[in-house]
Amino acid sequence: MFGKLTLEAFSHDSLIIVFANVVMIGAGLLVVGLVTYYRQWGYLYREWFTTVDHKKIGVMYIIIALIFLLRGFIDASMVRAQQATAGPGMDGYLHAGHFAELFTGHGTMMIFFMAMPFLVGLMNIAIPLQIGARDVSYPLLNAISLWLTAAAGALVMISLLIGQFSEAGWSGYTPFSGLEASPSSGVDYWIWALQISGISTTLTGINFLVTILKKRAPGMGFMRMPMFTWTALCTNILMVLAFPALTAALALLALDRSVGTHFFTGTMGGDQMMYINMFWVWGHPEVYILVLPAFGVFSEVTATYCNKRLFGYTSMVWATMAIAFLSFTVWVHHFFTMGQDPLRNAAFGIATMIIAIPTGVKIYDWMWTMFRGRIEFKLPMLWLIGFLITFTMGGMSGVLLAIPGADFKMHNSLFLVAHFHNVLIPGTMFGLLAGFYYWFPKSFGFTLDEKWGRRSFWGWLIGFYVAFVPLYMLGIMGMPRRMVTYDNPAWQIWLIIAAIGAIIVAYGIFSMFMQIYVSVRDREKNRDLSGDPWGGRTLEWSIASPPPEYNFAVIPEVRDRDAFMEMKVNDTAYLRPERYEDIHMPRSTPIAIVIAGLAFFFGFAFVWHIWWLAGLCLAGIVGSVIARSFNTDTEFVIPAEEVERTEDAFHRQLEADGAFERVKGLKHYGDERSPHAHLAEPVERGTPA
Amino acid sequence: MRRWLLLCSSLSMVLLLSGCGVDDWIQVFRLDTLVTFFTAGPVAAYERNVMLFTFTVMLFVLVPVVGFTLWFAWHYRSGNRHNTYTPNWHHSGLLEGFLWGGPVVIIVVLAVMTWVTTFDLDPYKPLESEHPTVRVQAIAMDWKWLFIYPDYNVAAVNELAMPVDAPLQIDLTSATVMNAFMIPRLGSQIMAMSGMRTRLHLMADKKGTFFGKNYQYSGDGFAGMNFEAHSMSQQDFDQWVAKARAASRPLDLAAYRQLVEPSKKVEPILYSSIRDGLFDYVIQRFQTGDGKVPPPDRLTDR
Repeated sequence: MFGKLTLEAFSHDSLIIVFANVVMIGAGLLVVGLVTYYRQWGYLYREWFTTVDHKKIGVMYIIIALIFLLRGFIDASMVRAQQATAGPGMDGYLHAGHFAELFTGHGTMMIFFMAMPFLVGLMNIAIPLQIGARDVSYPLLNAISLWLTAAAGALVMISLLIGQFSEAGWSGYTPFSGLEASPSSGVDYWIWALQISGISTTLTGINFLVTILKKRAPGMGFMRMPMFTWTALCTNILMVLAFPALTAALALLALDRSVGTHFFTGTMGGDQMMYINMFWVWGHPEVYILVLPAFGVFSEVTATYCNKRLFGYTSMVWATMAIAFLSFTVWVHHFFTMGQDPLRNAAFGIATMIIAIPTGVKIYDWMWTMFRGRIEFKLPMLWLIGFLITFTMGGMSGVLLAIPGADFKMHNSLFLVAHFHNVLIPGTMFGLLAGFYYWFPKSFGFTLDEKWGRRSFWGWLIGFYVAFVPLYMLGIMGMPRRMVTYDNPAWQIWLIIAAIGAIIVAYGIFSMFMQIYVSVRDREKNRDLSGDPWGGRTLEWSIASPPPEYNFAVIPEVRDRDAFMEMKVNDTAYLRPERYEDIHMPRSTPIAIVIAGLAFFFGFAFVWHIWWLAGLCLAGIVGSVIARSFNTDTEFVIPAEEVERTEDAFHRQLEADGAFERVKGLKHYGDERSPHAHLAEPVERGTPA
Repeated sequence: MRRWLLLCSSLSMVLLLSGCGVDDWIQVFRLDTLVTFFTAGPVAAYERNVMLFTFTVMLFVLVPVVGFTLWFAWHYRSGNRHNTYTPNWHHSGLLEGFLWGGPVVIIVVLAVMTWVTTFDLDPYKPLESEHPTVRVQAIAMDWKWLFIYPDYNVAAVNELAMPVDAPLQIDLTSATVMNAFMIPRLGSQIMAMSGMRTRLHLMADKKGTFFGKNYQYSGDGFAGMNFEAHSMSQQDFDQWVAKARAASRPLDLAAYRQLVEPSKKVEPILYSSIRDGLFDYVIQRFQTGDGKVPPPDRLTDR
């Protein structure tokens, strides 16, 4: 009846896990209780759970990301605490299996349930607005993607309570992740969490690829797309091309574990190398899936806060495309040490370091955007500067590891761990946090608190260096990754310093949540009436904050790269049409939650071999999709009068805020204030579409 | 190429260590803990030179980026109204030529270096020496290493003895999950995989005891899966072999089956003789049912 699921799965010998479960269940009950007490279930269901509005979906993605940021960070801190207290003659406080679950969980959660939802959330919030669209191409698919990610995250969470999580590392190398070496439910939870979230990501990729290709406002040619949209386009191409490799690898691994095939076992003709090949064919592009959108955020914030056009837009575009292409040509550098011939090692090493060229160009372009600008040191500029310096160091260690001769030495050591944190923390995390601050007022109509934001920045930046420079040192001292204990006395002091670094990062994360709390509390003080708090350059800043459900009352016409800045300079911003028209919008529907709920139980059933439940859920998913396809009543109409009322209200706000006066001041943008006015070119004009 | 690398890295080392005896520096700053730089063999020394050379070249990127970023950020802050402000300046062919050209030049230099050193450092390439090569077969187990000396008919667990200045030719496989063999002070790491054979050449040019370990996570006993590599004179090595033979504990299939069971933090064991073809047996155990498929020596035939 319940497959492999027995009461034993609920028992945990570690008090830490029992405590974590009490906290998790307690927090869950508290949220449910509060929502019930304030009678908000109806509101949440109508406005959020069933919505297909990309702006709300984006917000929910980021909430998922923040929850998993906390969990992923707690896991990381526990790893640091263990290694700091596990020197010669010491055992630390964890046993080896629990330690392995922690580093596996940390990697899995930070990549799949923190970084990915965060960047997809930012894409959801910003992209349709940046390209002047009413919504994404497939709003319902978007909602399904969101709830599938939530279902996959729930599988990770439930593994804490029932059974355990994988011990095989976030990359799950075979044959260790096979049934023989890892017989428990952990790897199955890992497989199905990744599988469901991977399918969600593939669907997101298709959705945004089509959205960006098909839904751009008239006049927005490819070379007029905002940089964030450009990087998102490349990211989505990578998602669509790379994720199927992961899906296939995980499916074959699941067959090995559940059905008894031997694709990756190394016995009966199976090939363990093939898993590693397939994993990194996805895994290396994935690194750029994570990092490219953050690059896009940095391009937006540099131009905005330097009050200057982005330097080298064309170079940026080509560099982005080059990175996206090259990301598929380097996966073999993950196994230089597996005895390939030197020709192959050298070729893939060189292919890897070639990526440093377009990346370097992007870094120089951001630097030269600052050159002769008027830099306002809002929070995202701090993130940018921290990123430029820190990421360049990470890139250096990356080039070092790309050389097989050096990789033979540093592979599997803490040097490697330090390297990828040194690119992913500034490259992804800093970018996501900059984007979070940048677009937050667009989503909620008020800006985030600057003071706590700065504290968060310094916590992250200083904490990063204190935590990861010691890991570089330890790598040079020959310490491998993933050691629960060690007997080299020289290592311990560095691991203690690294643990202190984790505490400083904890302060940064705490400040970030304080920043949100303080900002919500003082929201009236930080209210943004104009919809354009930063003097933005792209279309999302031309509408109200938060944007109305239909985004744009009239789809704008684009005549420049910095479309909204061009409108402001040429006095065409905030123009109103002679009359408004009815707007068709997709209707909310609970179908996405139903499908995702079934997917959750499907994954759970597969983990525990409850085959009848798996079959039932699969039939339910297929049935729901078919049933939905017969539903023709999927849209509703926002009447022209209502659109007019909403827009009138926005224009009254603009008046009260003095936005029209500010726009007039931009008329001779770049002419008078500069003693070198002859260097400033006129704003480029495209032919009006 | 090799000499050129040596020159660059020696220069950096001289700068680091100048003014004081090398041994003093090692004592004072415990440099011997930096095993990647404190090498004991030609492979490791070469790899250290590759790293130092790369690091030196990369400084040509890092220093300007850090310098310009901080300078621009300070100089063009909005509070500083005396600066040129060109809000629409966004393109310069010459400047962008340099921005693409600079990284290209640096990467070309590193690519040439990579090409040459990768062939030099191929783990499968035999090392040159006046001394005869010592063959070793290493088998990774849960959680210890078995080293077989087929030419001497002895074996050892978690202890690798070698004559100084004699090349080691190590063939590796695994009786369990994937493992990675490395002795940081001697050089390269290489994977040991079940059903497959990999090969590594190492050499020690100093006498001493070096830390070795499995570097690829392999389960509960991973952290303690360490061994000691002893580099010794030829006479001492001969004595070590004699000591192993005197242990009168043969490594037959029964002993192997007992050994291969999971065990943690295993103290060194010496075996006085070995069953013929044990290494091949371990590989073939993982092959197809009829055992006819030969183990691939590496991914391609060379």
